[in-house]
Amino acid sequence: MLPQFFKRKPLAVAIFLAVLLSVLAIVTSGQRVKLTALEGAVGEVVTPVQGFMYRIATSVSKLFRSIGERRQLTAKYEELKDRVAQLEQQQLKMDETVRENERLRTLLDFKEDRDLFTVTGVRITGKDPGNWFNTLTADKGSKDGITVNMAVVTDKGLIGRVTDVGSHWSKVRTIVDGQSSVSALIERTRDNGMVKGNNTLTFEDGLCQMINLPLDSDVVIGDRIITSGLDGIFPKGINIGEVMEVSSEKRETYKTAIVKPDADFLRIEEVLVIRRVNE
Amino acid sequence: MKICTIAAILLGNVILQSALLPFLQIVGIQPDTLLILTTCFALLGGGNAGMLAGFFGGLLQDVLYGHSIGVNALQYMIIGYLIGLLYDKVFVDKIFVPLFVVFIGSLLRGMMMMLYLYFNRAGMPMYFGFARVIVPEALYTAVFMPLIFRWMSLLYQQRFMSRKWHFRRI
Repeated sequence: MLPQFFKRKPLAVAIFLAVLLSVLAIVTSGQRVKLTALEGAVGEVVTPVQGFMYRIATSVSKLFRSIGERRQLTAKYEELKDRVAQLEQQQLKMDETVRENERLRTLLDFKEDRDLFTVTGVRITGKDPGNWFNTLTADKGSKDGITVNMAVVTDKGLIGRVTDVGSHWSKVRTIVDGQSSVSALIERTRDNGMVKGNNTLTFEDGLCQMINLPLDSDVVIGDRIITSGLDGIFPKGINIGEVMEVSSEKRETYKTAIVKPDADFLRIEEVLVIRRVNE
Repeated sequence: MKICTIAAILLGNVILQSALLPFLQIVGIQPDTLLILTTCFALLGGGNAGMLAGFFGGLLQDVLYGHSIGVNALQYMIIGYLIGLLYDKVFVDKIFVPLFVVFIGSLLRGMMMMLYLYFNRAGMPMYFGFARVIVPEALYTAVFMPLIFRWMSLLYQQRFMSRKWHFRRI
């Protein structure tokens, strides 16, 4: 019956499948708390193998990189020595400030306001295979306490957020993906805005942009950008990156800045999943 | 046997594509090996084989990476079907033909993706998409084509693969 139909009328089958897929795409495009059992199972099988391959590939790529880096070591050493001296001085000043801060804090009876909380460390197992999206898969899921919308960070800065979880694996959308946006603020001027992924910029150099900055903001190149926590998803104060370029076009009511994220999206291995304490 | 082989190839492909190929990127672009496989199946095994390979290969990508299920599956399936229309009509002995077909297929998929992104408010300017992603991706994909097509032709010379796509009659 059906198989014969399939042989005689492949076009009809194609159209049927196409409609089915379109409906499926629309249905699944919203926010989902949990993956279906089938999706979860596919991930359970594929993720471990993928993680293994990914680790081999990263180590090979690291090897090649380290050969190139060895050549510039001496120059780098001198540079770093200067930098250490510089930083030591800064550290002294910092220590002083921290102590002062502690004193003032006890004086004011201020509650320690750390709203970061690490859920677990995860290993990245793979990247989106196409050239159009920037999503990752990781090797832990809801069994390890991960839920949708938790933030993912490295020591350098924000990576993205969890969009789907299986029981032992999860999907992460990075901040340079075209469909990602994060509430952020400029550390120096405290201007609020949105860090949005932008496909055009991502292809240039893994950049993203900060939009909706007020026109009177005096943001300059080199300013640090951190999360503001206003979106209710990301905890406040996570490092995102620094401003590369500022533009404000006529007719536009907002300023836009181009942002270079601190995290290296090409070579991510271990990351931390964090959540807000009050959740 | 045939179905198991195809399934294993598709599964192996998605793993290699996400774990290994990101490290072979040139200017941020990696080859689309699923498109190559879909093309091979369509040219060597006919439209149905191409269509189903595209469908399941794309679905696997959707489940593992996409957020909305069906986006990739739909695109690869359409391409598999269209290329399958050429089955038995073109000579695939000269590598130039499959090479050209996969190049056009890749352009087509790029355009469909642009359309999808546009409707998801993540679009990019037309010229930029073509110059920076679609055309480089099509070229890079075409470079990988001869190697994989050679392997796939060898596979299709095996006896268990040469049987026509067939369902048991009930």
